[in-house]
Amino acid sequence: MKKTRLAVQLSGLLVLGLLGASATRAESTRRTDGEAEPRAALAAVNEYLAAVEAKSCPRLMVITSWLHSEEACENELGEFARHHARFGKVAKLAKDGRGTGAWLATARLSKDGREREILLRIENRGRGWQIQS
Amino acid sequence: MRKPLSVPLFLCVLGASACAVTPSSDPEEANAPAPTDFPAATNTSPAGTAGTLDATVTRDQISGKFDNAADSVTFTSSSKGNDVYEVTVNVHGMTLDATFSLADKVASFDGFSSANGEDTQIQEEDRAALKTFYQAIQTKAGKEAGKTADMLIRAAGIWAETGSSNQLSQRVMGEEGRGWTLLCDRIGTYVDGTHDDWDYDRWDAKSSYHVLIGDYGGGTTYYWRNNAWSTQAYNHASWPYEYGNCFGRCGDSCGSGHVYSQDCLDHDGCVRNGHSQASFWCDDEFTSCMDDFSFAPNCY
Repeated sequence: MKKTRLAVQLSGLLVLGLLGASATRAESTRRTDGEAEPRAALAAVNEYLAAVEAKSCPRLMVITSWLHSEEACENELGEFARHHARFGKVAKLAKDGRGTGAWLATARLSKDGREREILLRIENRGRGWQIQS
Repeated sequence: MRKPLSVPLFLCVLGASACAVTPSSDPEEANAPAPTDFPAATNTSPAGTAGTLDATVTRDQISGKFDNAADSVTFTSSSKGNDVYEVTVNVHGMTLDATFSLADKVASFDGFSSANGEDTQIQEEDRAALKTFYQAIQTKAGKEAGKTADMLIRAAGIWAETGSSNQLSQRVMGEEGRGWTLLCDRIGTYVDGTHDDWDYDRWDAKSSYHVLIGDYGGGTTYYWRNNAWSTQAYNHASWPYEYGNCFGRCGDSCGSGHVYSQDCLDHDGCVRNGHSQASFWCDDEFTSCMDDFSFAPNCY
């Protein structure tokens, strides 16, 4: 039988239910850490969107992992201008289900007059939270 | 069988209507390659891959595992009757699944963490593994692949080209004539490709290109620069001439399938003219290719 997303999630819920009771006591001590991470990831993605809007290369070179030079950044901003691309708000933020430590943000992007949703990857690889792709 | 090359090429070079090319008077237009500059046809088979592919094939199903030094990919493709096929591929802890209804020309794609069903994303190392698997399964299946293998190849090809910014959950509907334009009768000739952006409309000189489509150039794309073929890519040049790496084929590089379509040509044009496959600037061209790749018949 094909292992669909729903089947995987249902089997996961069963296991979680069994573990739930024993984990309750430890939950309150972990909550602080658990909330700090998505907050930092969301702050990073919001900074990226704001830096694109402000056309700020100094900020983009800090918040992205792939823009290492002014020239690369200017090219990227030129691409945004050429496609008249603008980001909307972040619609969703979720941890990468593969346990990589990354967060995935779903953001609206208007490009060439059309709107679509794109995935942005936010990860802390020792240089703070950055947009990876 | 490949069409004769010399006559259509000659006509195209002259900008004749047979190629649907309107000669541009733009002074920056690249000089056209002469017929003698026409590249030789190259190997049409997929690039060889290192690794072991074990597959079990029955009448209604193909399943197995591909291993190489870096990656392990498991796969199943099965017929569910009524022209419905289900494909599942597992790589790096991610499950990719697709269901194709060929009769209705409808497909659904999904991708999620194999461990918990949560959302995930195709990354560069996943694309690399999927491309290697895609090449291996094409080599194994060959040109006479059954339908279950064909649908596995098509799904793997789509996932191998999925950009990191693409949502993995997608619905695709296709309709021949409206959904895709096949270029089978244009193989071996120059066909025009284009894209639009805010600076340029479709078919503006700097967002369009003449592309020799077909199994040419091996795994390399060539650009006509200064009266010679070069591997240096253009970035919004005026009607450049380009060919190679099976330009216009649906799927990464060359391979056993031969769906050549306008949307796949336009996507190839996007990722080979200044954008990487991972870039979200070519996402919409990729999305336009998905129905071509899912449902359009092979040219040969």
